[in-house]
Amino acid sequence: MSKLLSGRATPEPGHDVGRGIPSEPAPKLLGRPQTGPARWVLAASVFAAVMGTSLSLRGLVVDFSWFPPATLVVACTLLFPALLRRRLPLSPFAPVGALLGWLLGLTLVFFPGTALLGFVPTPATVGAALELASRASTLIMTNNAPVPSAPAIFFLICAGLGFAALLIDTIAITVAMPAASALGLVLIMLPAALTTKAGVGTVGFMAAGAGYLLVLGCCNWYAPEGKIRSASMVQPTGILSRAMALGAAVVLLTALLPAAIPGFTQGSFPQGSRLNGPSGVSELDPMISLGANLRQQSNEVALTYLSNSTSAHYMRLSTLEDFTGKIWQPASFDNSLDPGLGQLSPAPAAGASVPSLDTLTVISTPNLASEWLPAPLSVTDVSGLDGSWLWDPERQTIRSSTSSTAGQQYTVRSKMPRLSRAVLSTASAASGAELDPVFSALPANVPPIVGTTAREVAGDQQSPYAQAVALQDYLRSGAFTYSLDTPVQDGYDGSGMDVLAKFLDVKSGYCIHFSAAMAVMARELGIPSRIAVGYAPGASTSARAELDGQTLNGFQATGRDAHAWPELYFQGLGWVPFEPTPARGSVPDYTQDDTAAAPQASAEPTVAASATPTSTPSATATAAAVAAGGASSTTNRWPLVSGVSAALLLLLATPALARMVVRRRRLGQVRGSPRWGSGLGGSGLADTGLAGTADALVAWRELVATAVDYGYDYDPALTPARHAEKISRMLGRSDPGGLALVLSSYEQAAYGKAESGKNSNGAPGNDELADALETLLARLKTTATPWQRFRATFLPPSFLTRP
Amino acid sequence: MNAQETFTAASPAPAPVSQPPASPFRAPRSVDSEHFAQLSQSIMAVMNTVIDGKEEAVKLALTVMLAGGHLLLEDVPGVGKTLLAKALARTVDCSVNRIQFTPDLLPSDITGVSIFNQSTQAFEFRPGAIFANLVIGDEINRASAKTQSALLESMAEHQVSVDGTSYTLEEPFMVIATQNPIEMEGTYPLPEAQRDRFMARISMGYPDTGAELAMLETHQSVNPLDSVQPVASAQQVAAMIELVTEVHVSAAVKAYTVNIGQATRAHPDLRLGASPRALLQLLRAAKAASALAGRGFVLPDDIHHLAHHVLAHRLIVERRAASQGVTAATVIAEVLASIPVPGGMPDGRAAKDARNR
Repeated sequence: MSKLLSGRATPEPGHDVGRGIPSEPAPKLLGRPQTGPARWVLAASVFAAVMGTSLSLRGLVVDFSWFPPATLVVACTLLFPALLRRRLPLSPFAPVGALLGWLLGLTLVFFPGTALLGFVPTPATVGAALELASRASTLIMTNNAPVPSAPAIFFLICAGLGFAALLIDTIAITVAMPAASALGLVLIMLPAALTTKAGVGTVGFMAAGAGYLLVLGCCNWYAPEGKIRSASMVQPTGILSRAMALGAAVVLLTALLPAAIPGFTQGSFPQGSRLNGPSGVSELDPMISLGANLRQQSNEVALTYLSNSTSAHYMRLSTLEDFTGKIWQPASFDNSLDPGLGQLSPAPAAGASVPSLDTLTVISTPNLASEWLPAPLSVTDVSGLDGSWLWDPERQTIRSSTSSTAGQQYTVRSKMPRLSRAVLSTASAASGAELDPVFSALPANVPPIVGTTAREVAGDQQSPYAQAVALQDYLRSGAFTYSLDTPVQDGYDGSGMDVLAKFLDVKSGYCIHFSAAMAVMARELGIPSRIAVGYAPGASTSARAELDGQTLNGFQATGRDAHAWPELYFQGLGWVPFEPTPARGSVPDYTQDDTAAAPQASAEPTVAASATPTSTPSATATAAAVAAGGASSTTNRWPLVSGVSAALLLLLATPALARMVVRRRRLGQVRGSPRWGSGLGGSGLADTGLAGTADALVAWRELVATAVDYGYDYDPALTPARHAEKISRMLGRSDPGGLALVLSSYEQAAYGKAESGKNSNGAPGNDELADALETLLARLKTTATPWQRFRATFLPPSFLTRP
Repeated sequence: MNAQETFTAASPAPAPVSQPPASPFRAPRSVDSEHFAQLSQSIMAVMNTVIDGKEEAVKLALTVMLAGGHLLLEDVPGVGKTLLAKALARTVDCSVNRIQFTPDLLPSDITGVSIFNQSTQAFEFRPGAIFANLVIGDEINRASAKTQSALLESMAEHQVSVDGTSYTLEEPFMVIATQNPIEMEGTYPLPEAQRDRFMARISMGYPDTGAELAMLETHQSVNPLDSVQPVASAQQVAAMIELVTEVHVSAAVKAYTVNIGQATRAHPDLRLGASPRALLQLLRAAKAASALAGRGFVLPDDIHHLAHHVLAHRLIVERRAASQGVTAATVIAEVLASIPVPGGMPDGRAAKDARNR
């Protein structure tokens, strides 16, 4: 046990009171009880860290009603180890206590009926717990985040948090590896990071950071080297204030960093914070995630809408048109787009001669969090939308960099050309001038099989429309099978030309492959194309509503309705959607052979009649003209805000920093000046008395300055001795020994003969003086109130009035 | 009612040119700091056996003596002024004269007079009571201003001029005068010039209960003065005074002293502020106090502590202010509370300054 004592390099008397048990002649069985707040402070710090980090679970459950029971369980878990640590020999068993507390807490909260006295678990409790756990797992399996608020979920969260508390308590205090306690905190953040789009969230992240620093700081101070400190504070070493300043800076940084760097925790595709875990999210990222969503067969309703049409719409979110590169992605975000959403016009639009249908759709997206706005094709007006959204006329998509579709409800008016075989048959392919070349460009690495297959299928068909129909028919023919799993098994899931070649070879895949094949083959034949990503027409619901004198029918699209389909461009008609995927969506009637019209199983064509005759289509390209302004203001705000707050913070910290620098310089000078003196004043006269004299003056000055910081009212008309007397009164209690030394050194230096201090009665060594000064400064700190300490640190009066 | 009373132990016979009188124990002329402390401690110890509970006054009296100044004891009758003066005189083995000042006391009674000697057919000088190391002037403000003025030259210049001849006084030379507060009956206030000659004025004050009880106990039958034996010779005292002059005074303390003096002169409530001589004496008293404290240099605390004793009796308060209760003491306290105490410069400038001086 003496090893235990010698473990510390400098045994401070105050520390060893509690640990000096072995040295007692007749130690009791369990040793002397620990005194002091250490074990409670440690427990409180772990508690605060766990509960703070639990804020990151916000996105997982619909509300926060799990919080009170979780608080109880975590508190129970931490209570027992804290009680056990009262006796030193018992403290290794703290994890057992934590386990006990965890079980008791869970029993008390969730199964009081099955337990003895309401908290002692019985076999029935175990059974109930297992049942609740299985129910929770079912809930999680069948629901997307956020899961509904149910006791089973509460149980899971409480058990998880309690376990994390147990883990942190054990690692940080019992094992004395506070840094590793991050493991427990990460454990808490993991579910949110894996399964929700919002990720951990700024609040949860900051709370986790702050909690971690708190655990680190408290362990360092209250349990250095794993031995709980039992006496009261000995000497403030400034760890607390330093840790607080540093911690505040770190936490602030964690808050500013995500804001300053878009895409860190949220923002444009791909999401930095989000791992594509097994539990899907109702957002359609192209390709892989689309496949993942489909495979998941989610029943969750992604969006519901009311439309004046009797049949469901294809709901478009984004488009893919750039087929270069290994992975096909939506066009990068263009800030020059028009932020307004009124009077929209697709570019290029259908010609005026084509009759059109006005469609009114009221869309609500309760469970869809996407930066792309779901809307039918040919949008002319969007209203009722929150946030700032941008309209891309080229792609006819609506997108936001700052807002999300989560929980939105909005009204979309669209104007669809009334298409028929007759109209389409006469349409020619695009001349190219009116269209962005990206829609018709093909990369150099297109596999030959694509081109040959396309030409083979097109055969001798001349009109682009006929060619397109031929492609669609080919892909829908019996040669191809719809499978979500084959591409994954054969390793060609995703996007890219190689995938396409493999698909045309294997002839099995799902919507993304079919649509990509048709789009690329259409380009091979000279027809501009793009892939639309969104939701296939969903199921009809019983919801009905009335708006502008029109009856609106309800529809809903679920996660498994996620879809991709090609859109081909025809001169004068605009973009026309096709449906090459077998057994999915609905084949547009304009692509069906009149004679061989085998009615599809699914709904009628998307276009529904509306009585109102159309006026002339609005002019094209108004958006692009207005583009240049506006959009940059919102995106550039964050760096400015963070810069200003950083500057403000620095400004606020200036007195503290300046004071700290001055103090450090003075202490350094007092302690280490003999080297200095001889080094600086090398001209001969300086090496003896000068350094010591200056040291004494500096030491006194620092003492008085610190006293002023802690509220000493400095009166310049008082003599040094009177100052010392008053400062000593401030220190209270016993007589501070170093004060006389600092005072006499100062008096000797300031008023005495320079030489006399040297040889007569021995001037105190610099170390002695520095020690005395540091003791005094520490004493000033301990006797001060918390508010005085705060003021002395951050608003030191001596910073302004130099005594 | 000739109140002049001489109780000198040593023979007076002063010559115009002073020479050290024979003394039973001849100490070396120079006294080192250790010896100084020992001597001063024993002097104070002996005096404290005589006067109970007046350590502060005793220390001040010794301070003034070591500073080479003259002391004015002012208080109501019966608090031990004369006892203090006598005690100080007894502890030092030197010539002591006592003058009881009365309204009919003549200047020549103090300074001395030339008398025609029938046998030698010549005028010869009969020295007055002033010719002693220590002169106790009792109730000095009962004499007329003319007689009081006879002290002026001797106190300031340590010499007496009679009939055109100057006679130098012995060293050390100190006048301890006692007086009743001037409001009392039958008193002539000391003129400003005379007051200025005294280095410090001490008020004895009543003793506290314990000291008074002890005094009643011990002083009933025996006169404590009787048992007092001298502990220091005149030469030793002179050497001590010499050592005091070597006490270091830093520039900061000098500046502080000057600032205080100037503040009294500029003070609106004062008709007369502290003279340069007053500041000089303040500094000398401070040096003596430092030496008594065993310190080789003067602290602002010394100045602060002595300012009241050294300056108060020299200041003249404006009548209007006086009617509002302002006294010299309150003015000095005010001044001391307003003058910043200069300190050392942290960059070593003060040290260099001090070295260069």
